[in-house]
Amino acid sequence: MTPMSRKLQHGNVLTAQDVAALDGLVVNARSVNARENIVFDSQATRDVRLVLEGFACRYKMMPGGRRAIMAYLLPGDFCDLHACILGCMDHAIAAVTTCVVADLPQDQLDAVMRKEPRIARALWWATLVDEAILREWLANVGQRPSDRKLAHLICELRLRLEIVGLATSSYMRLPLTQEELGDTLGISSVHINRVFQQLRQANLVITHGRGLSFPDLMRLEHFCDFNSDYLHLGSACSETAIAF
Amino acid sequence: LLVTNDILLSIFSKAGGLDERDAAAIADLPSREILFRRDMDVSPDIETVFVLLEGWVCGYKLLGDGERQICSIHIAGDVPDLRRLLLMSSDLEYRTLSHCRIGLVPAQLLRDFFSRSAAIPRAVLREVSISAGIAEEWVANIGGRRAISRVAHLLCELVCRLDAARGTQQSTYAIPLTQTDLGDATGLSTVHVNRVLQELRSRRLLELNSGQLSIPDRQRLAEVAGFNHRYLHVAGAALGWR
Repeated sequence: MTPMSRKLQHGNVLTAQDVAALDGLVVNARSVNARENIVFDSQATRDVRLVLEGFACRYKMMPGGRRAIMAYLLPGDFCDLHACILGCMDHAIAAVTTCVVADLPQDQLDAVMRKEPRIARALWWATLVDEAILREWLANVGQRPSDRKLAHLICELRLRLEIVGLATSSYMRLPLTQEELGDTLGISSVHINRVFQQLRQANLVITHGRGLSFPDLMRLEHFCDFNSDYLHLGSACSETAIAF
Repeated sequence: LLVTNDILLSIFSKAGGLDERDAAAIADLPSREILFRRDMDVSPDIETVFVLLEGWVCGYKLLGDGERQICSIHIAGDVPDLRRLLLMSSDLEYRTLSHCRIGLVPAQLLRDFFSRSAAIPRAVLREVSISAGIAEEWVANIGGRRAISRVAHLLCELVCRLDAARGTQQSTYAIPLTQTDLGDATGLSTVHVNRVLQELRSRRLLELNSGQLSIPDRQRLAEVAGFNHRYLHVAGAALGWR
């Protein structure tokens, strides 16, 4: 099963046939080097692109040369579901690590969605969750102190990796540089270094190279006020399910 | 005077494919109107969709320590929480920023269209995608711009959206946001917003007096803000925005 289908199962109950139909659309899997663009600014988008492996980011170059990272795309995430709806991109997507990306041909995707409403709803869910994540990021970047900002980002990425089978409650890989984390949270990379030290000293995280382990995940989540409701996970749960 | 059903009809027509029968049914949906004063919670239950007919509303989140982040600002003609047609829970609360007139429609009656018309979910996703684009720009704004550019950018956006909604430029704009509201939307303290507004005024980039905003030269303000209207998907260029 592709990470896309693993993720979409949190948005709606999918049958084995649904998963096969979705995974069968994935074509053109290819490797993209770290720091290369996957989608360029203003590129007209025809097919939906999908991350299968690695970390990618949505970014904008700001006047003055600063880069702002507005989203991370993890395995199973779509690069441009919004752009396909609106017909154009107004920012770029780049591979952060080496990535494997693939395409979903738009016409075939439309046909599958028309034929199987369950699949359509799972994809709607993915579009809505992407937007919900942005609003949570606003609150995070706008209001939390630096140590809680970083902790919150870590908690979110860990959970999103866990649902596609790439992290556990005690360990995740975080292949982001201090500079990238700084461009995400609107703080300098020097400051990120200091904040990481604080989190380590409080025994909230233990770093080993690009790996992070969590002695007590609940304590970390509590520390940064992380509440996963905005990810709308768990299609089986009636209050977060898509409205049908 | 804006009418609830007209606004719904225009939003649901935007993504194309709405047939005449559905259009007529939307025009006939039962709706009612309520008036709100400033600073009131607009939190209809999850089974109701609200349409902003007059006034200003913000979507916000309260953090554990009581800090408020304004995540979206809505003007007359917006349907702020259309996503609730597709998602049963909302992670945003809504509050009036001015006196408001609001239209209410039962969500289920709109959801009933989903099974027979793809045009309605497509329109909802289009609106959600536009608000995602705005939220993205706000994340970049807070994370990547200096304080003066942040406030300038937010004001450029609001004026551009007001122009687009009215189809015309004006010389002054009624903006009911307080300095606290501006700070909560841009991640700045009220004191900082006050200082930034003074600087914008002294550089003759804008004038904001008792809720009346005027911008002598929008190109210059847009440059300071790093504002490009493209993410709003409105006819900004036709209204004098580069």
